[in-house]
Amino acid sequence: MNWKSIFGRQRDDEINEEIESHLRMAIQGRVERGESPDEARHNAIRELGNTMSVKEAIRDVWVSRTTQELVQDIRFAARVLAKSPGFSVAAIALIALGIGGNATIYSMISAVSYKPMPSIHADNLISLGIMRDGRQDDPGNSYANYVDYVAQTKTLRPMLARGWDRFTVTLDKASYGVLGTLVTTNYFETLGIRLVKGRPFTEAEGRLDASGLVAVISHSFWQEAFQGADDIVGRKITLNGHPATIVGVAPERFHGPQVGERNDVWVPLLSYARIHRMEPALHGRALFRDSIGVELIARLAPGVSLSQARAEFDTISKRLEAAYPEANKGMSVLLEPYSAMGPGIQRIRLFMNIMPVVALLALLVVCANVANLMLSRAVFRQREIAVRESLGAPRSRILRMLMAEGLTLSLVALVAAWVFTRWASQGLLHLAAQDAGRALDLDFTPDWRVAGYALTLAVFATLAFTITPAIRAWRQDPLPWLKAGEQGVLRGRSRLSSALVVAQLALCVVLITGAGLAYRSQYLINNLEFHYETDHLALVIVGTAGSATDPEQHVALLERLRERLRAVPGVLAVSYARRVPLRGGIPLGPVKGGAVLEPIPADANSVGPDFLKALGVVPLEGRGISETDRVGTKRVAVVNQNLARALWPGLSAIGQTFTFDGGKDLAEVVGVVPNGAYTDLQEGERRNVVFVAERQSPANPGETPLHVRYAGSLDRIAPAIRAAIRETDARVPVFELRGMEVEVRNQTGPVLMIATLLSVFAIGALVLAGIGLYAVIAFHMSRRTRDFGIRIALGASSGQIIKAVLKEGLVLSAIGLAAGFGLNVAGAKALGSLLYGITATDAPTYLGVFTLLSTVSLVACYLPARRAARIDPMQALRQE
Amino acid sequence: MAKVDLYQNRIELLQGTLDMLILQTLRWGTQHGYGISQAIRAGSNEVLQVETGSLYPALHRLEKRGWIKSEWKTSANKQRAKYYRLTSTGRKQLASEQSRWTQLVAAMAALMQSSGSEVKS
Repeated sequence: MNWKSIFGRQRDDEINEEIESHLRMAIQGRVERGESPDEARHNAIRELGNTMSVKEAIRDVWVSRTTQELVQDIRFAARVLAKSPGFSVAAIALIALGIGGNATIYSMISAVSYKPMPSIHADNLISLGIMRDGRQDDPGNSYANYVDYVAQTKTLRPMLARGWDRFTVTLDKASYGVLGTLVTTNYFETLGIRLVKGRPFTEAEGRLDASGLVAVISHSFWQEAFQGADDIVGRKITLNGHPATIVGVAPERFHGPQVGERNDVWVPLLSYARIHRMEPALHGRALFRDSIGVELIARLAPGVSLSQARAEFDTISKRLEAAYPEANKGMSVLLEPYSAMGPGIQRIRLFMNIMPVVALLALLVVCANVANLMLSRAVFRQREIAVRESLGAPRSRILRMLMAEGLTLSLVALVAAWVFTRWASQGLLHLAAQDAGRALDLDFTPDWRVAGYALTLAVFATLAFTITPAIRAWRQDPLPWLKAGEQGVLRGRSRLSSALVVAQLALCVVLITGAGLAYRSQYLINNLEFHYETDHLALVIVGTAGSATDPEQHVALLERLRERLRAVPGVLAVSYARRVPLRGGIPLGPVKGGAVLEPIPADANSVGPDFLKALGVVPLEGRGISETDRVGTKRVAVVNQNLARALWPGLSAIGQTFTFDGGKDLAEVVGVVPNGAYTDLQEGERRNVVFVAERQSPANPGETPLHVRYAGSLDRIAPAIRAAIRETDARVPVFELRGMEVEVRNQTGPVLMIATLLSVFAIGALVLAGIGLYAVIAFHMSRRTRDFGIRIALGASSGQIIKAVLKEGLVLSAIGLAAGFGLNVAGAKALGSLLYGITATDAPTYLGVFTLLSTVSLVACYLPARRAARIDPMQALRQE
Repeated sequence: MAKVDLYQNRIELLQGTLDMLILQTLRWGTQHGYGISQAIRAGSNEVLQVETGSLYPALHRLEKRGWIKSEWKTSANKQRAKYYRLTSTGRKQLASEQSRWTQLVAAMAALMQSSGSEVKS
């Protein structure tokens, strides 16, 4: 179809020609029958009747009446819009950005919540979350519950359980630190994954007493560590020092069913105890009901609906709660269709909930602005519309004309929005990847879902910004317009557009407050008193399980590593700990001592010698954990000021003792440190913290973070650190090597991302609202040029004129601001847990938002006011 | 209106019969709109008069349904005109309309005769 035939021009031409040829032949026929040429023409034309209605009837055969009128309307709208390119381009750009911004956010959400991870067959796949006392909880369930579910359910089968882990894989001489998952043997079957090599696990391999250890590896691990060897199945590797046999290779790009998973090894779940060298008595540990840590995914049995499965699981949950009232208290299962997002981390879910709302608010501001643009144009067209109406155009047709204009704008904007979305979603992925510090295996490309969303928004946006001018046109009485010039009848317009400006300002307040709160959280985090140095501190996560077999060997290996690393040039201090800073403490149990009779809760970390030096903490009193604190000496501890004050108020804590772990252990305080952010970023300074000596109570071999304080740049020193570790023991893999500042950023990442995105939308909305306010005031002013001219002629000073105009504008912005702060009270609470250190009604933020918006309003009103004051009275009076 | 005068000797076409007449006319070859109207008028001894306002919409309707096809050609006396031609589906359609028409005529005749005899008795 070409452009012409879309609008039916070609067909119209043909119809004309056909009728003309008919007429010619009719005349000729009559002449041949003896009529005079003039008579023949006259009669033939009379016989033909009304050619217009004939043509219309023919056209109706091909195109229905409504389509014809629609095409006509759109054609007319396109012409009208082309005549005012400034308005059209501005409106299209605004709508395109508004819709594009929404579509971009939505394509991100769509990418993580609707698209399954690669290779997964997602139909009828269900994630099993957990509700505790009616609230959604962490999705970790117990293996014991899983076994009961499998035994009792008829609606969900198969069902898998999985738990994350890290392994040290040793091949020949080299060791790799890999992420892996402990899975039930039906894992690959449940997800619908076909291995590219070998086979999935057998049921026998999943038993607690299975004879050998087996593993499935990822495609990329197969390529990297084995160079894609063909005889990979049956090869032996060492997993945490245990011999294991590779039985299969997962398909390319599959690393787990959820976003962010990067598994390279899968092993049967009940191998857990053996892999981690747990005492034989604990081998059945995974079977304990209170040992939570597996997540479940299942597929609906054929012919079963999700609601049937939900009903069944309500019953099963109640039954299990009755049978195990302690572990399963108040617990029920939440069944949701599988998504790559999974039951998810709450902060990310919150983020996913907030961003679309923010984008929609911004779109509303855009709609209000475009509505205002259309409204001010409508004023200039009011006369045209009045003429049309008085000539008999029905009001519905005039409405349709306005709608067609809106629709035409939206359609063009939609195309532009699509281009924008494709570009912006890639930018967003880039931003997210930067945040995560690695490439993300996510596809942010907008798909049909995004297209549908954008289209829906376009339709509603069109309605939103055409409705106000349409109402105007509907209510308009054509008479005064035909009689009077424009001056007399512009009043009604101002009320509507003022309302729109107020709405824009109010929405703006909400968006800017959101951005402001997020930024202030960010600021507070950046200026947080850690009481140690977060820069020039490297966290080197190593695995000792490949080389040490018991706690003594583990701690001896760590000491060797510490000795060796200290010799690396540029390294200032080295230590190790069970936990990385800010990632919580180890369970030590409540502590009891001094004047306090009740045990009080405390966070703990078990650390190596020189830990305070590596972290950069200066003790207030006494010393840190040192090399002399080893097995066989008296147990010592370093406490923070909070704990010291709580247990021994008014006394020196040094030399005091306290008990922990239910009174079984006793430690003497050798040092006091300031209240810093040791285990927790959010309320670190308010917690009680204890550091104990790792060498006095060593852990099992496993993952351990070395803390290395260095001088110079991390990029420079990192290779030397890795080399030193390899030299000490080649079987020790480095899982991760990152700066402490990265760790801090990981903790605050979502806040920063929210702050960035929110401010993009907020600044856009602010600019629009400012322009909107300016336009309204400027319009009011131009309407009253004559009025001002008279006042100036009568001796009004420019100050008086400015005051009058300013007053008008500032009343509007005051109403807008008030409405906005009203909305805030409801809106800002949504940010709740994303905020750090402030509440949703943070006074400095509100003050800042108020100042910013007042300034913008003042400027937007002052510019037209100044122009009013400079009106030349002579010219103004001569104007019509 | 002029139509009232014409009513004596000219008959308004029955709904739906115009389509059949057009198809019938095109059975003998291609023809333009004016020719079709002349053929119908002549063939019915000037009794049936086809209004241009019904003829052309009907032609376009039939073309849309695929029963006839059109083509611009120059006529014998050097006039450019749009010629219509019956398609094979049009031919089938004509056959079925003809048989329906025959049935209708027979039924109408039977009805009119029986009601006529009722009046007589």
